Amino acid sequence: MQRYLIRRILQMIPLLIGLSILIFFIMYLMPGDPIDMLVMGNPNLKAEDVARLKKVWGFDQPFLVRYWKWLKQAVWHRDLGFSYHWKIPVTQVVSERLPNTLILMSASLVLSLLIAVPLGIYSARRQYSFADYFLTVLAFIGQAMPTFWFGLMMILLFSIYLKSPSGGPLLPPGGMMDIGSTASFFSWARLKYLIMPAFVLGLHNITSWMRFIRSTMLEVINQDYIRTARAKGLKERTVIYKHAFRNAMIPMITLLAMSIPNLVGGATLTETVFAWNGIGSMTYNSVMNKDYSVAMASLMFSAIMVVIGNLLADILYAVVDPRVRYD
Amino acid sequence: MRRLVTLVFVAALVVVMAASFSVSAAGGRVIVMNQQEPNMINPYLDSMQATFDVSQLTWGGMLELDEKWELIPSLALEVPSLQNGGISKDGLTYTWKLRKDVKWSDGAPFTSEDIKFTWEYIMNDNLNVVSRTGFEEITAIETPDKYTVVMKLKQIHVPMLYVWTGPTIVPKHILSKSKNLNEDSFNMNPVGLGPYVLDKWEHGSYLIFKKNPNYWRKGYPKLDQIVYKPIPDENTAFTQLATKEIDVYQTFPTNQYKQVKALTHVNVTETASTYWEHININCKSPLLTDVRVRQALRYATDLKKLQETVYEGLWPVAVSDQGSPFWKNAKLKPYQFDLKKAGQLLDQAGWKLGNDGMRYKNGKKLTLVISTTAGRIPREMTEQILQQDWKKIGVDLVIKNYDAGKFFATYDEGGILDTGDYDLAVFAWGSSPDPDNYTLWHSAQFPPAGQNNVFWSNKRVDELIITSRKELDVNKRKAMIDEIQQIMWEEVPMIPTFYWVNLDAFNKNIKNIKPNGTSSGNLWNAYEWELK
Repeated sequence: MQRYLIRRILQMIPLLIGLSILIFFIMYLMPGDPIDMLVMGNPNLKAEDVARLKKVWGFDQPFLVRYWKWLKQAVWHRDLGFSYHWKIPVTQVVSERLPNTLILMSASLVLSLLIAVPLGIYSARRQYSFADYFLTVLAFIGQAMPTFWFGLMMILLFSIYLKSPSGGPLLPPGGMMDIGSTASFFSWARLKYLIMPAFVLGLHNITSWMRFIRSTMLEVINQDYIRTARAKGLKERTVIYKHAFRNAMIPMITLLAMSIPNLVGGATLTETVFAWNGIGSMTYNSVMNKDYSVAMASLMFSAIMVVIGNLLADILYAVVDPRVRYD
Repeated sequence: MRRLVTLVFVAALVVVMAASFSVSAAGGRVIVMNQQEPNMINPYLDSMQATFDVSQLTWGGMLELDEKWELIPSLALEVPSLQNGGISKDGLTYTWKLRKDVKWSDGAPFTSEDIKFTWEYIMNDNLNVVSRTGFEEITAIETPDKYTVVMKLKQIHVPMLYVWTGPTIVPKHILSKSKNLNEDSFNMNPVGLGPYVLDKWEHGSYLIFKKNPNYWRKGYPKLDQIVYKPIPDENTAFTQLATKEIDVYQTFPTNQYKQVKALTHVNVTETASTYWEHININCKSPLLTDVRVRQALRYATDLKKLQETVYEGLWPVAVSDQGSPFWKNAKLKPYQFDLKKAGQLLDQAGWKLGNDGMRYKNGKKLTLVISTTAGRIPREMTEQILQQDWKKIGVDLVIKNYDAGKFFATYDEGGILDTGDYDLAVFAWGSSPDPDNYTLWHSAQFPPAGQNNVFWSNKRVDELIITSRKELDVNKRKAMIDEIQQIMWEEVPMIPTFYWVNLDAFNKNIKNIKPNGTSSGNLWNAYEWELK
């Protein structure tokens, strides 16, 4: 196991370097740079000013020089650079948004699990019942519904139709906290902002995981050992949760581990609809504004999380399933 | 699809809003929404409108530009002019008298030294300033006493007053000690001369500004707080306006006009902006060197139809590159849409109709390429309408759009505009309140030197531009600017289409709203804002 781990981790290094070159190159291929965006529509900007600013920010350098500078800075000095767009160090840009994204994404992940698992099991146990069909239809609707539209509909319902006892909207239509609020993350003042985006974001997971759990449960429930367990006279609860569900969970672990990158990657659409200040909208803005240093940091971060998520899935496999062994 | 969904949503919203109107109790606070978040509070290091807005709240200047685009004194006692002796007869010396008893927000006194320092700050090679235009024309600043500033100029620079208008002055007592001007904390939380100071900046969510206790206008500002709240999505912004989470919705898109108008608790303002939309005609392209062809295209451009279908009838038709009511040549009329006349002009230019209904000259078909930045719906709609209309006069118009970066890139990087790799190009220029468009139309300004990317040269216009830049008499200068517009009207190096209109919505309980369509913006007089 240990040797396997070391090998996997060593393999990551060339993979990540390759990825960084690729991402940097794609960013480089995008035409124009932030200084060109300044020129847009501004007839008073002189050619000398443009040339001077490009030099200051290093946008006049060739690809390899820029990449090498970035790599050297990031690896040797652990410095991700200075954001052209936000005019603060990249680490600060990211660290301001990362907690927001982590909170939103983990809330949505937990919510999805809490809803999807019981519904999936229920659906499997009562296969072809009315409830099963009903949930199936709901699942497909949930899959097909565009996030931004569902978000807007939620806002319409909870912020506009439904009023809180004090007269305002029941749930705030967007943002992350009352203006000037110093309330802690776990108070109602903050949680009420989290409910809608977490649910909207979770809808996709809820519906797909529910279907997934239903099918893996169905597979397990018809196995001989489940019949044996029942024949032993075990309680139905024990049969389902201890014997069937534990085995059905194994493929779920891959799915969960694969959703780890999303935890830090953010969700651009939902963040935009609910004015949630997260990593997703940051990445989008940095790419649109050609803010190379921020875009590189956030894309690389996602890449690292994908690689780690994969590794984690493989390790967890061995933990939950005694049949799997690595060496 | 997205449009339709939005429409349904918005229609439902309007019905609900109409039914549930309640009075908001905002206290002494106004929440101003903007699509973008400012990235700093220093207008010299970035040119975003959001940065300008928050600088208006916290910084000060010797002059201000009011809602009629007129200069009014602020920290200076009067606007320097030839009449009051503020500007010398030769136009090379400006003398400013400053207000006494003005303090910076940290309580330090404001003096003429700060003006001198501001100029040195901008000219400092270590500062990554966006542009030094105007400041470069100054050779020396003298401070005979604490409240007098004398500026010496290299040459006449007519827009000098604008250089010192709005958020412009930096504090010597803070920045002279700075180790790194580009990354100084001043850029994020300035000590200023404005009515407000930054209280809290929750990045990505909002900026709270509170009263500056040392503000020089006694009894101002009226509001306790102004909150500047970035909301990137239009639908979200609209919902927040409807639910009164925000009081001011800045520059909303024309397609939301009817919905916003339907809200009973807001006033909508339509303010002329300095931006003007136009179609560049590449005068260097062999197909377009003949002025008759260019005129024909202008006659075949149906501005009425574009106005109705693309801009909801809101943007006024442009006749020239000057949008200001003062500088616009009042005698010029827009070209009347006339396909027949356009056809005749093309005939005269030797482009004859072929059997397929298209025009040919020496066996060559009249095929033109029109370009813009991909994804700007109004501009793409404009291209499609022109394509249909111009087909009727036998012009084959091919649409070829680019990413904004490629479109506006510099000459060296192969930018579409600057290398002249187009026949027609749809985009907008933003002018300053001063009418000088030297970089756009002077023949010495072909890229890469300047931004004459229509590649048009006219001797008389060159001459007029140069002399008008040196003319201190406003009326004489006006005559020259009028003549430039007249020549451009005849020569058609570009087709002016529309002046932009800023649409803003304000909660009805805010008093003294005076929106300004230049970069002064809506917040230039925020010190006067008051709640009813």
